[in-house]
Amino acid sequence: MSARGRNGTADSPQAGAVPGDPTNAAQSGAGRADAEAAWRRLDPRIIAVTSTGSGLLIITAAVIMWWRDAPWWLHAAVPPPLLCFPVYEWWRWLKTTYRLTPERIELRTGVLVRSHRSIPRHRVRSVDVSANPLRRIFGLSTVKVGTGHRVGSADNAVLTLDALSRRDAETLRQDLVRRTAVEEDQDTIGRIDWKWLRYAPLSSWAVFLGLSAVGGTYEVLDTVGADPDAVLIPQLFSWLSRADLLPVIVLGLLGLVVVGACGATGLYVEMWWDFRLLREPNGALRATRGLFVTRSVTLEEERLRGMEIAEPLLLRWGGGAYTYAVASGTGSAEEEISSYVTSAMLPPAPLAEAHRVAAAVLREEEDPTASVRLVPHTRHALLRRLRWAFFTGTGLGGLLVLLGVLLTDVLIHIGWTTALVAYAAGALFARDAARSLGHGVTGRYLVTRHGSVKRRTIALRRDGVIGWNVTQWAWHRRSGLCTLTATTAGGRGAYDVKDVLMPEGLRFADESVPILLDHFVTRGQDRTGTAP
Amino acid sequence: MADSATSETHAHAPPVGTASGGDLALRPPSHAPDRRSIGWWTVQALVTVLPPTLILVLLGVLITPARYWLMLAAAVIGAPGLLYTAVMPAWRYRVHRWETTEDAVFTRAGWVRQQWRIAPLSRIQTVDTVRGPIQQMFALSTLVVTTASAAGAVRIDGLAQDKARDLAEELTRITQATPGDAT
Repeated sequence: MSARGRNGTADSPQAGAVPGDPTNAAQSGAGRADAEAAWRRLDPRIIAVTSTGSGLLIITAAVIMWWRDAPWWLHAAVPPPLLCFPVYEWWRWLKTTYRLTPERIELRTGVLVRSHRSIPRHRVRSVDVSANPLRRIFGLSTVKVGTGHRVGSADNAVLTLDALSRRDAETLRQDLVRRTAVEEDQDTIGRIDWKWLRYAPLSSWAVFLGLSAVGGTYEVLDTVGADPDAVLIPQLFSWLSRADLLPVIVLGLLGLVVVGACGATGLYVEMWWDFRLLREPNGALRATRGLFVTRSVTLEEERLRGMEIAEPLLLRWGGGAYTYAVASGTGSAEEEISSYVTSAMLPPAPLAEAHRVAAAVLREEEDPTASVRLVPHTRHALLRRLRWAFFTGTGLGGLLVLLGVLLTDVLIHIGWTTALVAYAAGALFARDAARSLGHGVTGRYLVTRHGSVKRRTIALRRDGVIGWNVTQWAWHRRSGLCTLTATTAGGRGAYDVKDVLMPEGLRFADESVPILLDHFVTRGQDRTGTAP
Repeated sequence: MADSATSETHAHAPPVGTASGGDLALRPPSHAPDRRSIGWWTVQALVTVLPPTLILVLLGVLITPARYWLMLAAAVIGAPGLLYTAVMPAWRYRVHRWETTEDAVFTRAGWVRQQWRIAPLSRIQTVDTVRGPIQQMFALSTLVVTTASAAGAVRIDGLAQDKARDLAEELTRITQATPGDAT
């Protein structure tokens, strides 16, 4: 049963759809259905990858320690634990086998705790092929097979093969995803247009990157022993105390923005390099991208539940938007909720392009988020947001004024100006957020929109709704204000229609998913008939 | 395509609901939780409120110089805590309701923040019963019905244990008989 990985079937896969030529003729082709019984090993070069990684770490540590005049025992203490990694990796490689049968993909792994996992092929919903720079140098890729089911822990949702040769990974991906062997040209839905690079500095990363660049410089100086605390920062302060403050602040902020914008642009280039969104012959969607870390995400069409257009404030002012798929099985539950990495269907791009791609992905003539007629929400929603703006401003200002009364007069003045600024900004945001609110039904989709700092418009398949939640605070019972939540198997799992009046929300829910609500609603005459 | 045709009509039609006769409202689900739930919720509230308060009081008794501040902190935590313990259980008992029909589970839960949940049986993945240590004391169970959505689990709190078991069995039977892959 062992060590047969290298001499599995050497026939090249019958697919003309294998793009590019095999980079590695020495490695045999992998995982065709006729190799069903053979248990195969991962690519042994993964041990070399780990060894190289450990080697680099040891060298880096040695250089830094030499620079800092570390004692000999510290030098001696670093390599042994790091050398354990390649040994462990070799052991893991020895203990790991996988196979692909016509019915299932199976993985046996585990050094201390052995596990044997088996996923029926018809359960496979996504195949994610990625390669970090080190693995790319060695021609390897990591394959993650997702089932789209999230019963139990995140580990159960994804089966990881780390790593296969690039060619094996591609063959495996095609094998798992393709069920109909129709040979057609792949249909390109979207690809990166470098004119969109202008949206990169508008990402929320820009400011954050500017700050982290300052922090990073500090860390590097500290590590190499420049001791910024004792030397640089006092010098900086003494220089600042002599300099004119206003130009320093302005130039400093400008510097942060420029550094941040450059960083964000670099990140954009790395993330979205060679982005392409394809529709494969069987209808599955495939997004590939990345300069240093290449990623390829495959999404089966039946897992698609809708699309989301997200417009963070800066990007919205620039006329751009993110485009995401709402789909189950694009990663583990945590990944789906915390990040959008796997569900991006387009880089930040002009809104019209986002709508075009969303429509193409859904196979609709028009993007439902564009064609829908949204019902605006009532003034209750605006008043609620204004109240929150008022509370926040009063709270902040009040605290400062209180401290000012206790400590020093300056804080009183800072306090009331803070409150005024918070009122003004809060009112603007409140108005924008209330205007964003809306919901509607169009064709097969229900659409909801909310948010100001990040405005999201979500089109969700009506048959993808697997339940409704209605949330109401006790003090909103009289006005009837509530939040309606559609739950679904895809994306974040729950999509809100925020601050809608209960009768209108229920009408919308009833229109989107008929019959389900019938037993649970009463049809009265009064608007406030929600009291039990 | 038929889809795009429907999409056209819907997109430009005014938003008319099926309930032209009157405003829609959710009715309360029909069953109340077991009466012992009030006791369970009270004990649960006490278990969260009492330990920090008592520790602060104890420290206040022992550490004379800081007594004023420690007692003040104990009062700041303890007074709202006791109010919570007094008000929450009875309020919760009035709000919590549940109901199962041939094709859906329908619940209302919460106290200040109230939530109705509706999950069709065809979308249910698992039906479990859960008993915490305090619930054991009162011979109560919570029924947890999960769906494929991360946010879709429906909980029925404060059922008598044998009732929860029967209900879980019944729901499992119905869901198995209902077609659909729960997504």
